[in-house]
Amino acid sequence: MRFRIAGESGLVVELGAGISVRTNTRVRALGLALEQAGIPGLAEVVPTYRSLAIYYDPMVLDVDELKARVIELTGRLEDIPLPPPRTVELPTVYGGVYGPDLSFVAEHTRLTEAEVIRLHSRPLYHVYALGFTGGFAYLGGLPARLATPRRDSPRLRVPEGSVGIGGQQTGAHPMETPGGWRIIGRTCAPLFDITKEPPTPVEPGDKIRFVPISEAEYLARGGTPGEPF
Amino acid sequence: MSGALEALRPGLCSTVQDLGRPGFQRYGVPASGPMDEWGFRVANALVGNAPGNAVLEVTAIGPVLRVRGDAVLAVAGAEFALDLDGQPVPPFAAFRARDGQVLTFGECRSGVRAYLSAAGGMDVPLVMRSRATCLSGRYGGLEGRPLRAGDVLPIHGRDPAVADRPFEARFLPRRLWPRRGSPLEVRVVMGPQDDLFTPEGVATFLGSEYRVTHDADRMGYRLDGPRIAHRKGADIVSDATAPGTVQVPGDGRPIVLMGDRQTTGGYTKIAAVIRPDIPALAQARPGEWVCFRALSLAEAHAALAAFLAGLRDVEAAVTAPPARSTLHVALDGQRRAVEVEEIAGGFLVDVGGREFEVLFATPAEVGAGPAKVQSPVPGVVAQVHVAPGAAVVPGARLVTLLAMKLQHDVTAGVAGRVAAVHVAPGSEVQAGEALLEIEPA
Repeated sequence: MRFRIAGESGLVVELGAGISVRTNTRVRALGLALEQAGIPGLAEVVPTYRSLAIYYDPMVLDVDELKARVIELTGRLEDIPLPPPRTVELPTVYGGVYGPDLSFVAEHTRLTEAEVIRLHSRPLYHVYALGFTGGFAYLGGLPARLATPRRDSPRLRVPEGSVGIGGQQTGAHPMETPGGWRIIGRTCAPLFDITKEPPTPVEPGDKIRFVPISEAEYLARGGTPGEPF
Repeated sequence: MSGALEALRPGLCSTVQDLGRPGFQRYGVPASGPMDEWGFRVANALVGNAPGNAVLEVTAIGPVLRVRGDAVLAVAGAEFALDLDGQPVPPFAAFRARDGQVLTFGECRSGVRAYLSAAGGMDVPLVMRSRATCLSGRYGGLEGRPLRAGDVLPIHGRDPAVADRPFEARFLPRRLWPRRGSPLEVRVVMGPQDDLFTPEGVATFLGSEYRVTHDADRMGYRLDGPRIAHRKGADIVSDATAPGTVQVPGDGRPIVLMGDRQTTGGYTKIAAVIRPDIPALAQARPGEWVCFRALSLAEAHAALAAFLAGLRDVEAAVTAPPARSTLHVALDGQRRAVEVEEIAGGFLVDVGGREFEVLFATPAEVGAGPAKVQSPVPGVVAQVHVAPGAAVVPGARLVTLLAMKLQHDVTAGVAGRVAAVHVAPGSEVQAGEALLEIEPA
């Protein structure tokens, strides 16, 4: 475990060197434990891949005291009862006008489109962090077989809900943004809703599974009809 | 007291901001909020608002607004020339505006961002508990976007105690107006990845002057200057970004992350600007210079305590009754006692029962004379729409500028003919620099 300083109001706790589900799980646990402890002056915790950022009010909470609490909690993380991670299913329509790059991915990986869909929708993906834009989940667990390079230049508009592969990563666009990933499908599940608290269906430490559905089912569930983009 | 502000001209980038939405960063939601926390707090204090009420953050080129319903307004932060129906209004002071009056933001004399507050606060819906605008996410504030011409921004006297209070002519004493040196010295705390830079890299960062580029906006300020050397590359496993984080990508040039920054980042972070120094940086213009000084964590905490105490002092100074002092002066060779009281924009001097209003002179306005069309901001010319000899009418588009990553059209104020064009696409211009000349019809 290593402490790092992020400005006068930020303490970063690094719980590992590389990316692993085990380390990320401990990051999640430490964040939850700190929140449960109800420490005055603790403003916010932000879990990422292997570190927890703790934003605090230095006028209320002494940083050495905060470090001592972190050390104490880290020593007994396994003993602290915490809510189990959630698994969220994202019903996804693959290919066609919703996944214009599915054929490219199939060609690149020397698989059939059906095999790409099967391989992509099989794993239980781990949510390492949310960032880049509200609700964008950094996922771990894309089968190496499916790795496909990003586009040379990004599309100016990738529709909300688009599911894609970029290098060794996979994920879904919570809102329309430019993007350079290979888009293979679209989910009708809302990934970011500013009217809800929390605004996202998943938090770091949760799991996601992509569930293939037909276009008819996608539309019946309220998915936006697809147009070429 | 309810009312609204109707945007006749929206300004370069005018967004509704309150203290922002901390607490949602784990969902990838930026904190947003005012770029200059100090100016924001002063603006609210001047109109008797709670410290976190929603205001309009105005950037470089301000709006022209018609007031609907009576309002009590104030502007604090960057120093803009202001007028209400053509009558000058001093900055850092509360003023009354009547239904139908037009408030015009003129030249920005120093700084970049000012805060227009209204008693009661701007009334836009809460999104994730805040009225702040997240431009990158397109939510919050006024529909997640900057003000457009034709927008009607409601002001709500939500707190009847504020709305029904008689008007108080609050102002910020001139001795408390911000003063900024050049280069701007910005204090930082080193880390979280300062160990991923070579000692020479750290020395370069702390020993050099960096120029604010035109790539400076609410997400971050790109700086140009001596390259900062990494030990082994600029990529890290993405982690969280604190306010004021100085990240250094592979090209070695620092970027200071500001209010609308992404919540996580994958580039090495050498240091973070301390909260008390972010307001001054947010007022630094493209072309100005900054340098960095490292503080220990204890020193940074002391600086934060001083900053917060300073804010309380300023809020108290705004609400305190003005002090009257007696000065003994020689007037026409005679020793006299005169009473002096500071007021908004100047002093009230009482000489033996006769009162004189002594007002601070305002420098000559940019744009003197209709013939010379000057750039209102530092920027880069994107397009020139006219050539010498072209006939123009008021409102005709002359030049499109790119300022702080935003487009702004400079339009003709008079009818006439273009006499000379001094710029071309790609020209870098200062505020006040001549773009072209029009011979009025």
